[in-house]
Amino acid sequence: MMRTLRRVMVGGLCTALLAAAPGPGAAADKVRLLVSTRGPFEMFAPNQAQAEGFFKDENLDVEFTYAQGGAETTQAIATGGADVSVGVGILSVIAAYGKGAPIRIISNGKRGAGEIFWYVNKDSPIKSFKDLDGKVLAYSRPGSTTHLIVQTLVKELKIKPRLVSVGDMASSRTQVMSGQVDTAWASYPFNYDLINKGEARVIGTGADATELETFSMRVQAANAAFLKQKRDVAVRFMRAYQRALEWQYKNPEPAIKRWVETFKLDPEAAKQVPKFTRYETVTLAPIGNLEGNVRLAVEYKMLSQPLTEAQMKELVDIVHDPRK
Amino acid sequence: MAGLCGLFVLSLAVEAAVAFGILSPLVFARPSHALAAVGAVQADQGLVQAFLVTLGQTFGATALALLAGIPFGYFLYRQRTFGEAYEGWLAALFAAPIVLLYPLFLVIFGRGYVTLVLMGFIPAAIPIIMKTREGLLTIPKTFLNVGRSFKVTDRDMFWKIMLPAAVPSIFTGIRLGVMYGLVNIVAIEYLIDFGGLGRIVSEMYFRFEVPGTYASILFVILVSVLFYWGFGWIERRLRPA
Repeated sequence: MMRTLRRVMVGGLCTALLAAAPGPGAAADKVRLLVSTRGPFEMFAPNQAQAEGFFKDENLDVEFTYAQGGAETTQAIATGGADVSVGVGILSVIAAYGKGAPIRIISNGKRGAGEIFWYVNKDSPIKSFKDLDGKVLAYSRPGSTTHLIVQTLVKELKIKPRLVSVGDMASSRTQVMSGQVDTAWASYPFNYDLINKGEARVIGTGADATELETFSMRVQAANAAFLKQKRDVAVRFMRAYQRALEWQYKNPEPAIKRWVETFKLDPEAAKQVPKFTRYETVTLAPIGNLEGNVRLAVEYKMLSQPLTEAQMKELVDIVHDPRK
Repeated sequence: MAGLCGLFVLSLAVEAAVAFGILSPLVFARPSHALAAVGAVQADQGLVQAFLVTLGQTFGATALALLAGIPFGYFLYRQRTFGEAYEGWLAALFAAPIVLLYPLFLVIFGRGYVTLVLMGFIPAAIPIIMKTREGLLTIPKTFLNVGRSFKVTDRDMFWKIMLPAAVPSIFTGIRLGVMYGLVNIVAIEYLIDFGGLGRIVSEMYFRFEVPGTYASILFVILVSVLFYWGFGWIERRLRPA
């Protein structure tokens, strides 16, 4: 009888221990991330987060997809094809929201645009933006950062170029070097090898559009339904993103090395990128001059009328503000 | 008439589906809104002028395709060895996404209408070549025997017997050619932001103007319909009674 009682007690103890033991880890939350454009340093933060395990620390399973910038990214977010986008042009987000799309700005991406430059073939007679009357001034796609910059340059510098959409940096390079267009755009240090080799010449940068210095040019955006149903996931994503941003700027050598290897960049040119894309311009908050961006959206026909105060308040939903 | 009725019923169905949220208004425009947007897009982007540009480019591409395609198709018919040798290659080329060659064409021919017309010409010419050869190969032997029995000249044999018999097949090739040529032209206009309707579709799409996007697409369809009706009219006149 004592033996039986002992067996029962041991069995019960084992059962209790097994019941108390932690079960298998909860499955990671999936995030469908759409990176607006391949390349820019601050938009590489999600890749850094992935490599350094920051997403894993937040129990996130992030699925990366890449777009071609501008409204293509916004469309995917608005129609639920992706949950979160990084580095999307703010005007296209404002335009989509203004037309009833369920999209929200969840953080700043980049304020100002000094890292974007325009260049010409070395034999071109064009020396600066002011020489562009009647000539082609390239930008990527409508609704993009470059589109916003060129329209502002036209207004500020009172020039009359032909604005032409040339696509991404690689396409832009091909077209200018083969003489199809007069100018090309790129984001430092991409295509800077042409400048260093003397095959092309910089004629100006996004900083020449002085009005835009304090404007948020690129933002992170999310689908409104995703934010409503999985807000905690969005917060954790942005927390990991912030952590990766800080890591990039505090550890520039390994961060730039990984970036250079991924995009096959010129390592010497790439070292200078933190000067062009300063940390102060890529902090998650605040959104730079939203009212100014809305005004420009109306001016450039992305919106038929300005957003109301209530709409602007609804549009911006900073899910993780490191300042707080 | 049945076609128009069917189109009207489909439009009503889409109108209701979007109005009641069954179809997302972010992706589909209500047909009434798309029609209403025509005026706004014309005022803002010059929709009619862009329509004429695309129509002109497609006409140019099709004309070149006819000038090159029908004689080459006849050559492949007459020279059996060449015909059998190139048939597979032409079929493979027809299936290939030639539109992806546009960067090469931009470099060689420049960013202009020549590139667009040539990019339309290639996919238009291939089905015309293939269907011309096929049409001539499948002429009933009876027709040819009757011609020989009447001792017609080679010239009369071709113009009065062979070509009329091959017309249905040739015009099938022409319709396919126009379709693929137009698709290529509009696609490249969209990609390089140059030219006619494709450029406007791109602009409307990137502004998130869904009704404007569909209004532009309606005009692309109109280009296709005009060519379809036009070639249908010509075929009826050339076809033997």
